Amino acid sequence: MMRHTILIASLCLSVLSLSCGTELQVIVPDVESLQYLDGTTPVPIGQRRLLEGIFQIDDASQRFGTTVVLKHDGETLSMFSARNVSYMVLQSGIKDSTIRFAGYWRFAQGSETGLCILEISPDDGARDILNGQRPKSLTLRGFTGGPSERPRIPVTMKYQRAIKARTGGFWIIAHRGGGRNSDRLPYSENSLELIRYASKLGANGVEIDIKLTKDRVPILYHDATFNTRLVDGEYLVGDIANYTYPQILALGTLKNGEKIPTLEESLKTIVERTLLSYVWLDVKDVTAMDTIIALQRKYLAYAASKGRQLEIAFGLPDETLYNRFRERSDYSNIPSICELGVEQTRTVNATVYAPRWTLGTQPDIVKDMQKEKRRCFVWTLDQPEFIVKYMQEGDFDGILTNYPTLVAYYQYVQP
Amino acid sequence: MMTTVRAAILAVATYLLMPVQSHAANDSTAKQYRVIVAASGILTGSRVERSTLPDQSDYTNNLLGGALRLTWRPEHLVGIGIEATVLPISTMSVIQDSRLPSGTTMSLSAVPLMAVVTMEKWGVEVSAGVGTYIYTSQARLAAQKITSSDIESGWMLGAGYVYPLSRAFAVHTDVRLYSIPYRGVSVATAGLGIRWQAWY
Repeated sequence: MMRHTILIASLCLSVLSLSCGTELQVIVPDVESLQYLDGTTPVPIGQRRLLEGIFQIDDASQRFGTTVVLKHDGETLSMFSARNVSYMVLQSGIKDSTIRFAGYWRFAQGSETGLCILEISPDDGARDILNGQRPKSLTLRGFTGGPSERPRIPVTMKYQRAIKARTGGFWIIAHRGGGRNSDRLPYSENSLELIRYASKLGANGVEIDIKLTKDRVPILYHDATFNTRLVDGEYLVGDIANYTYPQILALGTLKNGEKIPTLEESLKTIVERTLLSYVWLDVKDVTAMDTIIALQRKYLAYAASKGRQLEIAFGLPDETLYNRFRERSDYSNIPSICELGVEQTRTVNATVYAPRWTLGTQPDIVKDMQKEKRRCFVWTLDQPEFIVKYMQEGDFDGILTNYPTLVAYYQYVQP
Repeated sequence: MMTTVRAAILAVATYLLMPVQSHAANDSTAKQYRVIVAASGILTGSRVERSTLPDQSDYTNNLLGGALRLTWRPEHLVGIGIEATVLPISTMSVIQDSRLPSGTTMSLSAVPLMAVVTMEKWGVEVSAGVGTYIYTSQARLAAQKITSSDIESGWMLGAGYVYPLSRAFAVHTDVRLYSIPYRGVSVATAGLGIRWQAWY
């Protein structure tokens, strides 16, 4: 009897012990503290693209590898590398004819991060860039370091060649607006802030998740219920559909303090404040379909009126939504992404066929779909070895991923 | 917080695994086991990590609840049982907010249903439990009432004193710490109640 009691007690205590957890956070290093860009003037918009290219790193290659991609999103310069799935986000400014950069680096699949400062001297290419010319040689020199210390480890990036873009375009679609909360990005998943940040991570499109509130407002939210993985809010418990949008706004925020956005706010932000070219609407609530399609149409028209090249596609992830979608008389004219089979894709005239990555590279099916003027996106591809395989062996038109920096690296570095 | 909890776990585990002298020595009738039913009223004090509240509100986290525990205790220190508690966590009344009407009241409560391990000697009882919490938020405005629930897991640690009134009845007082780690909710309770026991 005693043995049984001890066994039960041990079991209870083990469960109890396991329930103690620590939430791991990665704080973005305080770039302002470097004061490295104080007194600088902005790099002219037209000359920012001259900073892009494939660069070779001679030192600091342990951390970032020997080949990296530099890509500008119009606001900041980003570095993407395969080694450690590392990336940098760098602000820039001009001082004394030198282009200065200050920002942070991060291992996307780990928690390591730190500060970095770089510069291009007039002789290293800044003179030509500031004159609006592609420089004959381009070198960034500087230092990297830990998150709270002045960078001291030398890093030099030498321009090798121009970045390569796939003919016909390639869509790097960031999952949940840029990545999951578990990826410990600076902003919460499915937030306006992360959507605006997605291009700094290499994405040119986003996938966002949509649920419907009690007062039938489509909001960006992934899970079926309010939970501490996604929100801070003492009184937000259980099903999202139990709460009106004003109640949700008053009673909770996303994990990094952002408001839970509506779909309308998100689409408006994408049109007005990003250069993203693709939005994948992952609809989590079949009853929200008509409301979402109305917003999809409204913002496609709005984007067109602004001269924006933007596609907004309605996701069809399951049979329930697919069947409801087919009940509409106009379904074949609604841009859609079909995650089901090839035949369903054809039946609804989906613009994109989107198989799960575990189904393989499907070369014949992809070719057939492309012949029918449909594109093929694969989801959700996160493991580096499979990203390499699908980029090299597959012929997909886009990849949905939580690690857009890595997809961007392989996309732009291809010979 | 985690270090403290782990130290407490270690202490309880060490004590539980110590050689035990028969508790039946206290019981002249030398029966095989006892069944104990304990009911108590509790006063709660809660802490919720990273709460979000309206612009102006009246917030209370000291509330009254109740607990009921059924324990089976054989001839040694350790007993096992089940427990249900009505555990009010907080209430909040909106005074002014740009999004919620004034007068809206919110309440948060949990009903932990737990398997508990208890240990009693010299009238001092310590207990630990794990189980499921029915976690409920309720909003009220005029006649409108919205209830929304979820299921969470959590644990409880407690310590108290039992003062016998007769062979069957005793009064007991205790303090407990309930935790729902996933929700970041901790509730400390102070309880006073009555206990009835029968020997078999």
